[in-house]
Parts: sequence; C-alpha cells; structure tokens
Amino acid sequence: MSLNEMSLFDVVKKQLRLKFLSHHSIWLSLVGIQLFGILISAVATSSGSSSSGNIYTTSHVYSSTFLQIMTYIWIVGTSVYLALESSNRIDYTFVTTRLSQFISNVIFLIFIAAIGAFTAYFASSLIPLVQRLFVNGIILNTSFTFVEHIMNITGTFGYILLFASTTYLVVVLFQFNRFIPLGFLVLYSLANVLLAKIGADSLIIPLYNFYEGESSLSLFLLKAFGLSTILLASAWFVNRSKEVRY
Amino acid sequence: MKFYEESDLPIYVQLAEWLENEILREQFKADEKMYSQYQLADLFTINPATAGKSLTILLDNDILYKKRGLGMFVTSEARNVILSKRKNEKLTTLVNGIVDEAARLEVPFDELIDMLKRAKAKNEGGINRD
Amino acid sequence: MIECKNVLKKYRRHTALEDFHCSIQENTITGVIGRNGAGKSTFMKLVAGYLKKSQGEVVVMGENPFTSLKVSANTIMIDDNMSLPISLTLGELLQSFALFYPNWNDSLANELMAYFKLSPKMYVQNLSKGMRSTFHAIIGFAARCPLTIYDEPTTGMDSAVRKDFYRALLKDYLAFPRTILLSSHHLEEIENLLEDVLIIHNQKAFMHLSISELKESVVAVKGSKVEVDRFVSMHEKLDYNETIPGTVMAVVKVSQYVHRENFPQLTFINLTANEAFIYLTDSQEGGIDRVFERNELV
Repeated sequence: MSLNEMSLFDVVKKQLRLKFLSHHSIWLSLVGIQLFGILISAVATSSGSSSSGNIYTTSHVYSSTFLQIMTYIWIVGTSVYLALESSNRIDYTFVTTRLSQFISNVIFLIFIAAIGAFTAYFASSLIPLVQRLFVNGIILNTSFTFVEHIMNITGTFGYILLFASTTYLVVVLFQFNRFIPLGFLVLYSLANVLLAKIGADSLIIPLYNFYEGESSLSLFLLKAFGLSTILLASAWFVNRSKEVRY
Repeated sequence: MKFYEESDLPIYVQLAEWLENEILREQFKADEKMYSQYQLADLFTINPATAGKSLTILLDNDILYKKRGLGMFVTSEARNVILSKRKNEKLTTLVNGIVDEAARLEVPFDELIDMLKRAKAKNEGGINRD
Repeated sequence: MIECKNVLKKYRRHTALEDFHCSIQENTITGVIGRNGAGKSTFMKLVAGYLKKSQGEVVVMGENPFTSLKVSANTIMIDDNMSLPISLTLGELLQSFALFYPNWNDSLANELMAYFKLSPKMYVQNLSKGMRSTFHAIIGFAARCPLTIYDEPTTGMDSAVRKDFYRALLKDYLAFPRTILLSSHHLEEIENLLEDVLIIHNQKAFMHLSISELKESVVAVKGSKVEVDRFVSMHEKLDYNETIPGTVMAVVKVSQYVHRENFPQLTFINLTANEAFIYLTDSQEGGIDRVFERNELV
C-alpha cells in the first residue's frame, strides 16, 4: 500500500474542522454565560446599584462589566479544557504531531477569543433592551461611531486572548509538573508579603498599569499580543516533546 | 477442513495434503488452474504466506507449475507424483507401523496378511453396496 | 516498514524496553506476543509515535515516528483507550475519520456497522465494552492505513464477534494488503492469521520468526527416561517432568527441524503456538507449580 503524504497545513485545517464540530460544550457555555451576563447586568444597572460605576471597565463606555467578567471566566474554562491532555489525546486518535496540535490549538484559541469578544460586545448592546423590559424609560447612551465599536471589540479581544494564553500556559506547566504553577504562586505571594513589609506596591500594580493604564488602543494591542505570543511560545517549548500517555 | 490439534503436522503441510487430495479426487485435472494463495487464505482464514508455502511444496514436487502472470496449474503427471509419493511415504510409514504393532501383539505374519485381505474385501463390498 | 535498533525506553526509573531490536517487513501480519508487562504496548506506542524512545533508533516509514506527520497520517492505532470526542455520534465519528484518512472505505464502515448492529446515532460512552471494541475494530478496517496497529483489539468481545473480527481482518488484508501489528492474549485464536511472531520477553525482542518456525522450534516428547534424556541432551531443555517413574515428558527448544521418524522410540506431542510461547518464556524456575510446591513445604 503506498504511503500518503499530508502537509502540515492540511492536517491543521482538518484538526480545526474537527475541533469546531466536536466541542459543542464551548459554544453552548458561551451562549449560556452571556445570556446570564445580560440578565445580571441589566438587573444590576436598572436597579440603580452602583456596580457599573465603581468597577473599572475596559472600554468605559458600556455597563456590561459583569458580562465581560463572565466572558473571561468562559475563556479561562475553555483554555483549560483545550490545554488538557485528555482533550489533546483525541487528536492522536486521528492524525497529528505535537506541532500540528499546537498550531491548531492556538488558531482555535484565537478564533474563539474573537468570537467571545464579538458576542460579548453584541450581548452588551442587548442590555439596554433588556433593561427596558425591567424598568421603563431608562435608556443608556449607546450610540457609538463605527470606529468606537471596533475599538471596543478589539480591546475586549486583547484581554480575552491574554486570559486564554495565560491559562493555556498554566495548564501546560501544571501537567508538566504539578509544582511549577504552585511554586510560582508561592513565590509571588512571598514577594508581595515582602513588598508590603517594606511598604512598596504589590507586584500586580505595575502589570495592571502596563495594560489597564495604556490609553492607546494600538499600543495596548501590541502589548497584549506580544505577551500572548511569549506565553504561548513558552507553552510550546514545554509541550513539544511531551509523550502521549494513558 | 479444520486445523489445530487434529494433526501433528504444521498447517502448511496439512493444507498441501488437502490440495493433493483435491487433485486425487480430480477436483483439479491436468492443466487446470489451482487456487491462488489468496483464495486459499480466504477459504481457510489463514495467512496468505502460509498458503503460499503449501503451494510452494506442490510446486517443488512438480505437482504444480507456474504460468507467469496467470498463476499455478496442475501438471499432467500430478496424480502419479502424488500417488507414488503417498505410496513411498505414507503407506510405508503405515505398513511399518502395522508390522511393528503385529510383532508386539505376537500376531503371525500370515494372519496379518489375512487381516489385510479381509479389510480389502470388506472395503470393496462396501463400495459395491453403495 | 519498522526498524528498531538498540532501543531503550524508560519511564522514570522503570525500564519498559531495553536493548530492543526488530525489523518488520511491509505488508506482513505480525503478532506481537508477550506476557503482561513485557513491553508490548510500549513497543506499539513507540512505533505509532505516541512515546519517545529514551535511546537507540526507531525508524518507521523512514522517519522518526514521534515527530513525523507522515507516520501519523499513515498509521492508525486501535486499542481500548482510544480517545474519542464524546459529543459526536458514531456516524459523525466515522465521518471525522474519513476526513483524516484518505484511504477511508466508507461503504465498508457502514456495512460493518450494520452487521454488528451498531447504530450511527449512538454515542461511544453508551456502548458496552465489547461493542466499543467492535466499533474501534471497524475504524481500523475502514481506515485502511498502510500501518495498522491493534493492541488487544478483542477485549470484551464475545467469541462469535472475535471470530468475525479475525475473519474480517484477514479478508480486509487480502483485499488491501498492509502492514499489521496485532497483539492478543489469545495466540491460539490468531496464530493462523499471522505470518510472523514477535515475542517480547523481559523488555527485549526475544524472538522474531515465522509462526511455523515458532511451532517447530519447540518440541515435546514422551518416552522412557533413557530415550528422553538422550534426546534432551541434544537440545535446550525447557521443561522436564517424570510423570510416572521411568516415563518422562520433556519439552525442548530445537535449533533445526526435528524429523520425528528418526526417533521411533519417542512419542512426540503436538504443541500449539501458544504452548510453545509459554514454554519459551516461562522462567526456568518451573512455572506456577514450583511456587505452590515451595509453599506447601513451608
């Protein structure tokens, strides 16, 4: 029987198709979580609570913080699922190498991050509609220009991608050795305790400022994509010679 | 035909014997095409390499000949080869066994001949009745 | 098709394969036989590219299977633990396999599904163990991969289905010759299907020979002690038992075919390939009987 040649591009394409078809739960949970987010945001805003005012939101323009948080939780859960060996073993039942698997996972992550950003944004524009159902007469100002729409979406996308790549790396590290992420956590806490003792700011502050304090969207995106690339590249480095065990 | 423990012989030898029997029964006449190793493999659920080994035995004994690209065919002298081979090998072994056993049981040689004659008569009677 | 040279495979401290050599020809059915824990699955997973050798050389289709897309695209490994997406029905799963394997035989898959009474609307997680094995086997047939690896494919199947499986395996092999590795605990059921046997014993490729050579290499004889002793002294003794005083049954490993007619005083006992394998791989301690005998003395 003659051997078949298959290009990396071909295999990645097929794996993506399989991932889109087989991960029903990702899409279902996205819809569920955002419906929930819409309801909570709408109720919270309309009841006059100050939650939307106090919590710092990415885009500063719509009161859908809760919805965004839910989307971040969703992407973290999804990234955990995608990085787990038990789901990656499925690729090996079909055709894969660690390289094609990594590429298709990254493309899939980017794709669902984009879908997450889009749906989160469109769901948030539904909030005023829902609010009208609960409280008559209150209409938030949601009239943005096209550019502002795009900026909101890409901003959210950047955050989702950061969450996704961080989670992916943490899970990969955890599977490589249970103690590595724990070690990081311990180190981080120790550093914070020490910093607090000498009266310095917590470590999270500079990181927070680096991203959250960035006023230019394009610079923010550059930083977000840069860090995501580093995180995912590290994940590849850890995972590339991992065996398939069961 | 069933393999396994029924015989002391390896499968390919048993299969070669079965093929010889088929030729003796004239299921395959001179210059007729023999089963291919794949047909035999399918027929008996055995590896085609094993079936090939059986065919090679027949080929080596001039019971079959090869036509390039067409397969294996029965030679014109196939029956004679098988018959004389059986006579030489199988019958000799069997006769040796009978003589040995008769000696052990202290059966006189004349009596043994009589037994053989009776067996032959019975066998022919059976054939006639059918 | 497969070349292993001096392969070492370690899991942390435990050695799974050591000093392992073998060479498997294209388009043969090779039985991979060994006791539990001998290293059969490790060998198969190395070949399939699931595991990475610790040392030595594993070459499949001219490439290192662990990093080769070519090996993955031309290999399918069927075993109990195949990971399948549980959100897809059996029918959808078959379609997914069709996507990845260019030689996929869809009509064969569907006919086998119907024959074994598997509905395309079922889900893998709802199948019994035997039915799941059957489904895996169907995938193995229909994928028509140049290298098809079955690791204990008949687990949980009843004997009728096992028989069908072996028959299907052979018919499919005749129609589309390919390289097949097949491991099973039931050597007696598969021996007629095999061309070669690779015996893995104590983490090494112990013997690699044709199935008839395996059967001919182990000979059991019975007879008077004097005669048997004379015969045994010429060969490698595997087992020796004085059943009745004066009468001995012995099993020996021979290097050349033994012409039985040369030993008229001995009774030759026919061994199945499985018995031959057990005698060859039994520790020289005399097997389970010795363990009990030792314990009874205490």
